[in-house]
Amino acid sequence: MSTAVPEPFAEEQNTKEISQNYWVLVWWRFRQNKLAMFGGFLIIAYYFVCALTAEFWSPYLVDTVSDYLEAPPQRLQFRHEGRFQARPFVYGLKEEVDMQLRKRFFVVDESVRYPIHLFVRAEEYRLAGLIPSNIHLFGVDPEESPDGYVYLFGTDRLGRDLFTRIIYGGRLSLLIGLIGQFLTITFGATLGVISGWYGRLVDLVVQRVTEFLSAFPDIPLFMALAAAIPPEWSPIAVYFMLTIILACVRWGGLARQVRGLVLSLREREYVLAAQSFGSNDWRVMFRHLIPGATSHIIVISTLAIPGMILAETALSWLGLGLRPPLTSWGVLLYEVSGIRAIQFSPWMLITIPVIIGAIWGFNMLGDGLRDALDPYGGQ
Amino acid sequence: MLSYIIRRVGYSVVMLVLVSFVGFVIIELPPGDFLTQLLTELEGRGDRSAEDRVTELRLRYGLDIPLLPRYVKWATNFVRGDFGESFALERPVREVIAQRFWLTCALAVASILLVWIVAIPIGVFSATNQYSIGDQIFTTISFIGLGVPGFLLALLLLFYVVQFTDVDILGLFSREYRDAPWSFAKFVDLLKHLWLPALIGSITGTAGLIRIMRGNLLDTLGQPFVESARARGLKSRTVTWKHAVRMAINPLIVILGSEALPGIIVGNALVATVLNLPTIGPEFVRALQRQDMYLAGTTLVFFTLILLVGNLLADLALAWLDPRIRLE
Repeated sequence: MSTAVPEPFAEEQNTKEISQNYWVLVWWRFRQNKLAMFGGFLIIAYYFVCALTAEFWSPYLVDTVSDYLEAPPQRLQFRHEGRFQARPFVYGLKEEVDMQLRKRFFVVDESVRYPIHLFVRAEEYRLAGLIPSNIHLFGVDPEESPDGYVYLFGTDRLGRDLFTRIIYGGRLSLLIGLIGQFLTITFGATLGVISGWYGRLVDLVVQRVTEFLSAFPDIPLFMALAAAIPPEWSPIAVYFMLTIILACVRWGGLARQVRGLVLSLREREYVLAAQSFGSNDWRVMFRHLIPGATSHIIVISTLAIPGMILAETALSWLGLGLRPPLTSWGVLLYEVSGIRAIQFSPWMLITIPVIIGAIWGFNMLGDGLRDALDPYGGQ
Repeated sequence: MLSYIIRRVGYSVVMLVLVSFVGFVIIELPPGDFLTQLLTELEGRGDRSAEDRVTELRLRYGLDIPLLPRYVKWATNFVRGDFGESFALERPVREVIAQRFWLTCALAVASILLVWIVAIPIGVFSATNQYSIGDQIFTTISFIGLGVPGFLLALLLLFYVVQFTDVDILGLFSREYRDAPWSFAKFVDLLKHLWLPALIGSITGTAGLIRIMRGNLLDTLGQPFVESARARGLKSRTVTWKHAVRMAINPLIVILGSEALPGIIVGNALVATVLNLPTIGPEFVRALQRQDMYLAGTTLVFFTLILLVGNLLADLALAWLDPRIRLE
């Protein structure tokens, strides 16, 4: 696919007529959309931080427990006794008991200070499961203050750092979106293209199946299927089963869109040409028709991933999806499902803005892609 | 028209039979079913007759016969209005659902009304004043709204209320009306509690509908028949509302049936779980958590039934409203 440079880009190219690849045009168009660029950047950042390098950004490991159970967030301090400090620090925590509520809680103890260092050497980990390291982006220096701690988002009921757990939790939540959508594309695009290309009986069957699937409200169906996963399965098996369930229920919409596109593409001359050169059905479908539908598949998928992430969050939050010892955003929310939890450890809800950020990122990116992937239209 | 209605209804019935089969399979799926759990629990308590009681229950629910005949039995009972029994609540499923049915409907209707009352005028405004400041504000808000799922919003709201106020937002009734018989005062009290969950549950739907309405109307406004209406000297408002909106709203009827309704039912189910409303959603969640599968399976079929009816009504309404639709 190549064509002359359209008007708006002619200047940029020194008025020289050159042919440009479709994807170059898409990139030009995409780059002009600030919101979409921001969304794309946000998504890359989320995946890079949470999925690839979580250990580096978090001050602790995901399962590091402490004696500070349900401690509130510590605020990063820059002033001590009215004087500005070059090195930020946090105050220590002191346990107190409220006799009326019969509950322990923590208050700020201004007599203890723990300076925060960048790139501290603390607990050992393997970056992305490969590179051994012990450098954390920030934290208290174990040599300087051996019993120091920093919980910027507070801790959960087992005394684990929430900041760390949110970053780690993103790994499973974000990957379930990606893997689930990958499976959805695999099922949806394959069945869609087969349905559109062969038509007749195959088409009829695939269409009826997608209609059948769309008859169900999807979240309740996920919930019912997820509840049926045997509880004795290993967490990882549950995780993959959940992903497969999500994909199995969601492929219908994509299949319909792809089918619609294929119905119009199959009449094009280039498809006829491919056939006259002796391409068999599979070659036509996967070499000519699916690439023709790629831009649509990308847009639909980008906008569908947030739905997957939210489905996982909702399921785990209700205790029907992932369970501890796995950590995902939904599992973190599971710990605040009661009103008492919201009353006494509201900082656990910090997870919510983090989830919403990821969802907005995908929506902005998807919206921008939708405009950019159609570079010949519009303008 | 009549033959179309018959065909459309027939199709929905076939769908419902298939859906009910899936619902039944889901009831059967969990290997560690409720009775096994009950058995261990009773034995754990040192109940000597546990084995007998569970066997008796097994016989009563026909758990000893093969899958297909059991489905037929379940389905015939289903049609007769006997949905089986909730193991956990030890009550017929029908009672559990019936008790919560009207409030669920009230919440859904309130949400849908809110969606339409809010979304249509805003969508029309955005389209007729494209790229104005108002349009951009609404577009941004609807964009943000699309990304905030109701149940997360409900959790945040709950946090706000618990931390900073002493309002009782859980449930649909104030304490003094909770068990009181129906009266006008109780109805007013219900309305007072209903708007908030309805609003939260309808946010995603509203945001989506604003965008669709805006897009549709923009397409319609560019068409020649709108131009000619203007040329005939009709008032701008008449052109917009009587000519353009009339056309642009048709696809929304389908969307109402196929996307907004499921969205609202599902969204409300989660929001209702957060706010602990006496609707079907939270009961469904609890049933799944306890593996109380008769209740869960029936509720799932029931949800799907609502959707099928919604789709059916939307299709019929559209066929009635839009004379261009051919019914063959």
